[in-house]
Amino acid sequence: MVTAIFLIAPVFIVVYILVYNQRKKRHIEEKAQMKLIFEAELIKTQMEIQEQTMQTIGVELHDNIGQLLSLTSLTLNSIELENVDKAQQKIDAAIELNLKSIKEMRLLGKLLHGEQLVKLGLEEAIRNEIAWIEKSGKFTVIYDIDGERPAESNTDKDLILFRIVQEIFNNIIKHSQAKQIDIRLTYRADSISLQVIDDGDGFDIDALTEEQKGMGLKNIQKRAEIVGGEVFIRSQPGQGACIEIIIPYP
Amino acid sequence: MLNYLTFNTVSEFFCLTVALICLLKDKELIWRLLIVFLFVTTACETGGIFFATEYHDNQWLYNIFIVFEAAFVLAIFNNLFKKHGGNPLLAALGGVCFAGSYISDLMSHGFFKYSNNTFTIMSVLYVTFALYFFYLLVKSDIYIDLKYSAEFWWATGTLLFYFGTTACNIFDKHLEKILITPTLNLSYFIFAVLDVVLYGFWSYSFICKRWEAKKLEP
Repeated sequence: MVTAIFLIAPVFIVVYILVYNQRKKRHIEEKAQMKLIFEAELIKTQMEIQEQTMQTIGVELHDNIGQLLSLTSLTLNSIELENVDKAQQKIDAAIELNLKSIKEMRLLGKLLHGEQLVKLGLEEAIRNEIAWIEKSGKFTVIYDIDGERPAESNTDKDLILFRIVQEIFNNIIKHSQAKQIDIRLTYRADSISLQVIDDGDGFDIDALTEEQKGMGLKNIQKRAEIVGGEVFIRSQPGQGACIEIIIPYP
Repeated sequence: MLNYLTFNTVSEFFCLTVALICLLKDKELIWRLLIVFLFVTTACETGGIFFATEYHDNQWLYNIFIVFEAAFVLAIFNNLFKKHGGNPLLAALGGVCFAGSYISDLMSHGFFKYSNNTFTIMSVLYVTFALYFFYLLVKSDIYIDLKYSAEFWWATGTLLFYFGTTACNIFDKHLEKILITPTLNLSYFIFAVLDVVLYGFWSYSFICKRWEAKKLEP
């Protein structure tokens, strides 16, 4: 009994160490689990970016370049060699159509390269995405970059942020009826902030049902959380929307 | 003969047997040397009973043993600190402390009186080292399954034993007045329990060491 009294303090310490060690084990397991989830999400993000790129290329080939080449073919087929003047006009038109096709092909090539752009820098990748949106002629996009990009970047976070940008653009294109999009990318000391404002229809965030929130907003939220970030959504019906994502960076 | 069968001798002999079975082929020299230390301990304990019975004096024997004890315990702590990123100079500092207090004890009361001050100082030092080792374990990012960690249970046994003996030494004047049997006081029984605790934990630690070695075998 007396021995037990003497040993209360050291026994308590030993028990504490054992309990702490168990917690350490759980923490390590959770960290490993989080890493697995993060890696899976990263692969999913890469796949989605690829899928979106392929979809855009498919649409572009069918609707634009395909049409241009068909028109070129038709123009060339209709040439009558006997009428030199008219033939020259048609050849010029075919050359112009062909040049337009080449230009479109170059843009497509850039889009294909867009995936790789993320590795070179988030700013470039976003700029490339904006160029594509502006091409439709439906939107005016203002793109600002504040602060200095840190010397050490984080390509995983860049990739996830780029996918978030794509998701926001998809939402704007599909639902907002916006005319103008303002994008501001801000580098801070230990974080990066991305703000996208549109002048579209807007929505009441509280009134949205789970289904209405859809995969878009949910995915943006989930992706930001996975890299320890936060998403702030401000919107009112008829007053456009502002989505801000802040993530620790690099 | 029955004189020789005490809590101390039985627990020490048991621990020595476990050490012989588990540590004889261990890869680490320091753990193999523990067999030698336990052999010296058992021999000293038996010799202590012999000299106490025959000559009524065995303090000089424990004065020799305390040197072995300090050397082995400090060497093992040194090994633990090195492995877990601790300061290896600490064990050397312990050696200096031991030498200082031991020489001071011998000079003050000679070789034939037990160096109690040295034992108390070293006990406090061993407790501190065991706690420092725990701190290294807690601080480390690497997870070790402590339930099967030979080092952890060796340090735990050491902590409990030397903490208990230090506490016992502090209250010795009061404890020795409490007689449990006509010839044995409370201190004796507390030390007996602490001995069983120490050698119990050390034995389990050696078993863990054997399991570790078996796991690494191809």
